[in-house]
Amino acid sequence: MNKEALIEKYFSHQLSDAEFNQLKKWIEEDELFKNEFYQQLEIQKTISEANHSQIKERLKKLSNKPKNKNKWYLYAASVTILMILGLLFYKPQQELQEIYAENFEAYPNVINITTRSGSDNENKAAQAFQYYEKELYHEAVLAFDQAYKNQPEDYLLFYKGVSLLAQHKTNEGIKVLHSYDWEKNQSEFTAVANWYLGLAYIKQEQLSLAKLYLQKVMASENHLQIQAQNLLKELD
Amino acid sequence: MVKDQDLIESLKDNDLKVLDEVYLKYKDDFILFARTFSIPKNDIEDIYQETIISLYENIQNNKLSKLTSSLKTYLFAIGKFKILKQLNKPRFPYSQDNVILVSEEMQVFEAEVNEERQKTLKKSWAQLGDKCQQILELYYYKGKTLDEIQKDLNYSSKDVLKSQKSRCLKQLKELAKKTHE
Repeated sequence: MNKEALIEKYFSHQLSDAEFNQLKKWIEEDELFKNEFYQQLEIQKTISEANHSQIKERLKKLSNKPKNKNKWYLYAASVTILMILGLLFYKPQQELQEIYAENFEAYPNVINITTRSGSDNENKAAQAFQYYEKELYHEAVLAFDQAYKNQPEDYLLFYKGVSLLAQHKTNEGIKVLHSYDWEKNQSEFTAVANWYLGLAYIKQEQLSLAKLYLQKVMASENHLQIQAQNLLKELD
Repeated sequence: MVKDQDLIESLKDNDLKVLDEVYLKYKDDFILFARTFSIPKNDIEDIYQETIISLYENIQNNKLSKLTSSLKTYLFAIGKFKILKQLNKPRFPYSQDNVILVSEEMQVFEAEVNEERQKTLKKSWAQLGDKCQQILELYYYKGKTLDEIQKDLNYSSKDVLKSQKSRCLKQLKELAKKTHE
């Protein structure tokens, strides 16, 4: 295939893997071709920027919307009410286990550890995440534990807790998630840790505690907010 | 729960409210993700906005029509490319010329363009005639092939279109030269 045709295929998104590699090779080896292609990429970038400035403004505005300030007093009040309601109503066991099963899902790996630097700690953590992604939770727990001992990062503890829950070691999972004060340390995992505590307490059939943590999630700005709200409705 | 593919379909129909929704949905996770690359907090938001825009563009340009992974995975792959780009930013903007960045994961090339040059090009683009803008936009932005453009714009042959496209590129280059001087 000639170079011109390959460029056309690139811009119309029709390159096969082999053709992509061919194009890359030409860019690396042929200076003239590289410069020609560069100019076209430059134009593509210009058109794209000209077209998206409006959307950028829109997203910026979205980010600057006033955030809900901490409304702890609101959920403190509603927790009290819910605890009272919790005493009045009672959900059959079966149903709670079903709710738990429907809602529990191992949290996706949002931590990207590369082994680029090759430090021992990073390798351990990377190994733990590999186990986690392969759903080898038993191995993952041990690896997260080791990694955390070397380098106490909040997220290592969080994923250790979730790995325990995923193995149905609910009591241990709860313990681990409680072993760190997410809120006080202003951890970015606060809301998700509360979400998993909420779920774990559903499994343990401790409804008032479950609701307490789900309420916290609801008052957060996390995307789980809506899920927590729905789950609370279901529990009522 | 709304399926990812449904979201893609809505975005194809220019539903910007859905874009807002996607933006907010993955924002927290993206911040956590970017933080692990030691990106300064202030830059993360900007990178995330650019990532969302790329997602939207890819859908608009038919580069992404069917998801083969979850939307989140796809979004984070774009984001990772942008993060790595940010980390490797050349410190002396004029020291290297015509740098092409590549993402193997996304099979994407991107020109590294300095700010001044970008401004010049933007101005020149605005001065370019409608007809030329249309052809270049279809080819470089909407991902149309020459055959498709020939049909859409009623050119008598592909060669006529080709030479028209070359003329447009030349015009744009000349405008950029003039604007620069």
